[in-house]
Amino acid sequence: MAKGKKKIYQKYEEELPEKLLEETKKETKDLNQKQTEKVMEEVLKEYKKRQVEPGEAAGAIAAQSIGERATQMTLKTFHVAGLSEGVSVVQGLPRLEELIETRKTPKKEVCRIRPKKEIEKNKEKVVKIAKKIEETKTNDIGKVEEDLVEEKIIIKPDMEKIEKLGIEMNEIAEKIKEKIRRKPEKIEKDKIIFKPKASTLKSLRRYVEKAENTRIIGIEGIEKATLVEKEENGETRYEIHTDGSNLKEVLKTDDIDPEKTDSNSIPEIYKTLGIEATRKMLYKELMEITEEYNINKRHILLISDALTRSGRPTPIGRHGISGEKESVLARAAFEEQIKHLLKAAQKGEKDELKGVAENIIVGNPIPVGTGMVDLRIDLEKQKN
Amino acid sequence: MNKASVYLDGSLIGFHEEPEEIAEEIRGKRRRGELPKTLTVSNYDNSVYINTDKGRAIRPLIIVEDGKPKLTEEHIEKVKKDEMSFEDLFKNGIIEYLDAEEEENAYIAMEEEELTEEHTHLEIHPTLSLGIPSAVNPYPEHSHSVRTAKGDSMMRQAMGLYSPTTNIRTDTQGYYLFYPQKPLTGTKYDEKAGLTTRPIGQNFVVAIMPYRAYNIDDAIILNKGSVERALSRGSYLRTYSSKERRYAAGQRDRFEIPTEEVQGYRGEEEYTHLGEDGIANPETEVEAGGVLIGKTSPPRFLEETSELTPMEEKRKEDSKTTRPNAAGKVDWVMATEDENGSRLVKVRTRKTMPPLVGDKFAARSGQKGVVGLIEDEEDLPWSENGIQPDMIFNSHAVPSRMTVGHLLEAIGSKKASIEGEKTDGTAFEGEPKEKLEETLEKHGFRPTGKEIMYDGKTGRRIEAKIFVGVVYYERLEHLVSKKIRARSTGPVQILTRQPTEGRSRKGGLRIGVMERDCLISHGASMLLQERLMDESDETIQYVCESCGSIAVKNQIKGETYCESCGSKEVEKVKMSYTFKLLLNELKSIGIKPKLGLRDKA
Repeated sequence: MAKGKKKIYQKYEEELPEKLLEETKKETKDLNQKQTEKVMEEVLKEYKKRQVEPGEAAGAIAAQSIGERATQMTLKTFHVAGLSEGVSVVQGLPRLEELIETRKTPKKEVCRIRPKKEIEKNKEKVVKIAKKIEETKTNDIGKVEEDLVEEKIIIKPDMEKIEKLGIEMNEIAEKIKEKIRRKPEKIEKDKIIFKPKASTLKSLRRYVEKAENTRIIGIEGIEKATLVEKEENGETRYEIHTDGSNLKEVLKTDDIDPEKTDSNSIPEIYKTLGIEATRKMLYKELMEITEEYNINKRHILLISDALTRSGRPTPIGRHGISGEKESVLARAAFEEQIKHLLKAAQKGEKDELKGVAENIIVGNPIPVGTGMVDLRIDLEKQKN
Repeated sequence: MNKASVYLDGSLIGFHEEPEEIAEEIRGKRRRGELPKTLTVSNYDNSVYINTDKGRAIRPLIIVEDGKPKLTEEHIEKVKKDEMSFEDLFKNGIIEYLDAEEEENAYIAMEEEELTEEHTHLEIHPTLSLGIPSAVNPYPEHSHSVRTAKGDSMMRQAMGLYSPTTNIRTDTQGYYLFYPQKPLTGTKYDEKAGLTTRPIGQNFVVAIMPYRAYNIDDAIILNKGSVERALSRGSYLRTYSSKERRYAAGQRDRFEIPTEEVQGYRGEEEYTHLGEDGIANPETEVEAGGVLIGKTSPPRFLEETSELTPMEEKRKEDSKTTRPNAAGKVDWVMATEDENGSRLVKVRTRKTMPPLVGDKFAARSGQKGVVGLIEDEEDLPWSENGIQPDMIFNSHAVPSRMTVGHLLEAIGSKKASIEGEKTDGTAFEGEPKEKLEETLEKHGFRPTGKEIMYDGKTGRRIEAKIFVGVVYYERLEHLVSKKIRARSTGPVQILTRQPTEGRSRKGGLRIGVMERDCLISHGASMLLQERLMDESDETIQYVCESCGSIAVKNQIKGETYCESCGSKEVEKVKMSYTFKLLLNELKSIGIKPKLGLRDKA
């Protein structure tokens, strides 16, 4: 690189963010010094134009931007139902509420599993993974019978089903053994017999129930795994979408791409991947819902930031952001006034009047926009 | 086990194995006259519902059996000759009443020709499936039903001659139109519905065109000449009443002109228009808030009569005044007695209300609008025949609303005004469009209703042909003069010292939370400060510097001090009165708030 050009770039190092500088460097590769200088000037100008001005009420604008569209969503919510995604997902306003309130139990949890790159176009192999993931209980592959006379329980798997899933009789016996803590008495070709020491009918039945609900293969909580076709660059690749989610275990599975696999359950992402991933996921999900409403992504970024700022997903509302505000007056203005005021009195809290709500209550100009600036007299100059 | 439940007026009275059978049997009894004709029975969802209570809309239908209506020419002849009454038709099981619930079990044919074996009933006439407002609406089947429904509901708000005895009525308030007219395009039901004796509007000559941007967004333009000739002019009547109440110890109110001694005396001029009896003379002007009935009340507590003036009782002024914003002329005075024998006086005021810019007008097909301009007559366009419209209506209001009935009414009434005969616009059988066009053509008009018009301002011919017709327009009771309001300063609420709310209280317009949020978003901090503080409940309070509580000022001595700690180091602080109130309320729940003071910036 020419020395002059390097100097130009250096000049802008402080003012432009790294990523933007890198990008402009790449774009101005073929330009001469003079042109580069001009481009850089223009880039800086445009960059400055896009910065938020000091005192801008970014939060209020973000809230209004989303709120306005949300009112429209209430009318549209019930229209979009069951696309060809295989697994139906909660959409529209209910989902938006779910995300913003960072609810502990989302209505429909879905894991979106991307197989490894080598096999993602191979339908058979992907199906195999799906079968392995889907939670299959004894009940799903056969019957459990009780023999009251001999005090036995007999497991009779459907041979066709087992063969399809590729399970051996031994495996079934092993799993049930683990669950009911009794050794199998006999393993025959098409049935397994257990003889637990159960003297009463009630206790025998309990064993039967336990055996029925034993997970033979799959991951706990994954009720259904569906194959989803995706077109990419003219080629079809396959993804697995699951009903129910258990990201922690899913990520341990072989033959999947853990980097591209995710879940729509925010609490689960937080538990397994941490707060940064939660922030990114919130942003992604919010963008997806509001896609057709064309909301500027900066508002959504701000909201995802606000929701994860404290290091854990914090809901908006009484138990979250609004209930944890610094100012007593602002908290009391929102909900549960008496509770907040009494608690503040007990602690002897002091309100510094830094926020918007408390200044409105007191009757001061709010520290936003034109209220941020003040006139002062330069005493030094007065002297002369 | 699976017996059908039987309900009488909503309460379960028993079970029956054959719901169809029992329902049929009850119906049969009703048709034979053994049960009241207003009783209805319906069966669905394995239940039988019998209804006899009040408040169900019921309507008559001809009973059909085996595809043949029970009503024959013979019956009609008999009814015509008065040998049979309508009532007899019920008794003989020819006609019966159905309510909405029983209609669910019926299959009703609109016309006799449509009848099949499956039908159970036949409409007496197709228009009987409509309510009264829809039935008197011309050509409703040509408009979208929603528009017709809107037009129907607006009829209820129309100014008209709502009672022939308006001049001796004492309704709290009412409007009446000076020159109500019968609609030129009417229906067969007009007379029965009372539209001919108590009309609700006038026939306007309407030109349909945009007019110099004054009829944007459903606005309409009125002809000033027509308005001056009392087009849609009306009166607003309001009645005030007052009683001579009796109290303990033989005291009572008195209708009289209050004297100067009376507590709360308003000043001499306020009572000049009252007669000797203290009641306003008819046909005198009364201002808003002016006295209508002069009245004095005895003092509330007898002790108030001080010992120094033993015999003199100080009476209180308790006159009845007109409402704020409601000036007018005294129209009528009625003096009578109430059930206790106390004197009761009612005074009715009247105010003429010519149409103003902002008043609401509507046609019966749901085309409503607000007056945007009252244009000088000489500036309005005129047609070849020299006819100028009473109203200009914007053509853009038609396509999206599909109110074809409105346009049909226009040419219908146009035809009627040429021929001198009412046009029939009854639903489903109104005079067809082709016939109207034919008649128009016969009299030398264009069959489309369009006419060549000339601009009133330039005198030039308007390039497009303008559709001109006559439409029955109602003036609705939403008058601007009853709604307009503005405030600079005015009364405040006692508790919060914020401006009052509502027009009658001279209130301001509220900056709500959403408006507040918008100002925050804009960063318009100073504007927000002005609306919420400076122009609202700003107050200056004294705050004690040492203990932080609100201090007081002794106005006589002119000194300020803190009542809770006695300190005299007190500062003036600007705050909202509601905040001061909040501090007081906090004290009431056992919290002592302290204010820390700091020099501003």
